[in-house]
Amino acid sequence: MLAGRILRMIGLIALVCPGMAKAQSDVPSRAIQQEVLKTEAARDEAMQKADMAVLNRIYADNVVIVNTRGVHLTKAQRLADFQSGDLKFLSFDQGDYSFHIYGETVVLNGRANSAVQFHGKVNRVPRKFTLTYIKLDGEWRLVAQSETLIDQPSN
Amino acid sequence: MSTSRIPFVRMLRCLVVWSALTATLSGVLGAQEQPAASQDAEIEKEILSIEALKNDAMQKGETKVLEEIYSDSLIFVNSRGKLLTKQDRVKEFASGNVKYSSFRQGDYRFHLYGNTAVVTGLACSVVDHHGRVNQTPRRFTSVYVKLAGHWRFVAHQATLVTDSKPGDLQYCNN
Repeated sequence: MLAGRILRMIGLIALVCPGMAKAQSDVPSRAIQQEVLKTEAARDEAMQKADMAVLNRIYADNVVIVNTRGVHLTKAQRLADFQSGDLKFLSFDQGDYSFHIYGETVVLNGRANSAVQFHGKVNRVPRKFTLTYIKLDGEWRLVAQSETLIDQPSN
Repeated sequence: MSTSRIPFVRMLRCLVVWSALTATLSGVLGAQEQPAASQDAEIEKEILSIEALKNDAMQKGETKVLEEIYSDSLIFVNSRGKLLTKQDRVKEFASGNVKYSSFRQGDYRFHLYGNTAVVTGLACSVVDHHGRVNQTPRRFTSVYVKLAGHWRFVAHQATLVTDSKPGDLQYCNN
């Protein structure tokens, strides 16, 4: 009886202070993965077509982008690159995704083998990338993107 | 129930309810009294102190400290584009395969989203990585997530800075 009352009280605390009971999990959830993959597929298509409306919706306003040259770009700079045609995909191949899910934050790692032309220079070197998606106002938004060339000979 | 248990039960109930009320009220009042900017500043301070601990541990090869800070599911992409797990990364320090001749990391910028912090910065350290010395500045992005009340390092990616505008590397040049 005493144990039962203690359990009920703990339950009450969990209701009153949900933050105490709600532990964030890093166990991948299939549903979240599917949602983020869907967003990622939409972004990939939009990047190839320079679909500014879709890119504008997916990139968070404060997105932090570090490209393969180690240049830090804002959302406005990234969108301008697509809009002007300074960033164009000659072929598109991206995958090998791995997910880590922490509540409404998703860290997505993958590999890109696309041939991309950036300000006149063509890059065919495979890249590793890490994307961070966060659910903001019910939508998955890209808040961070980092890209690194694989096995750079200069390093 | 025996009568001798009643005071204990009452005391326990009071304690539990008091704890719950205190936690709730302090949360509510705290949120009301503390402006968002001030909360952000506190989070930034907290994460910077973890970064300082991590940086110190990396230089001294203190793997215990690194194991505490790194999330078990850490995703770490180094400046060669190699993906490392927590175990891989800790092993690099334990074996001496990562050694710093000089250490300089900073120019931190924060973007906070509740229990997630995106931190960017510049690393200008000279590092011997598996026998190859790297002196090229790296721009990094780290992600911290608050898990069970503690900020944990869940993702990191470093990229060599091979293209920069004047002022981009000011932190490293000073």
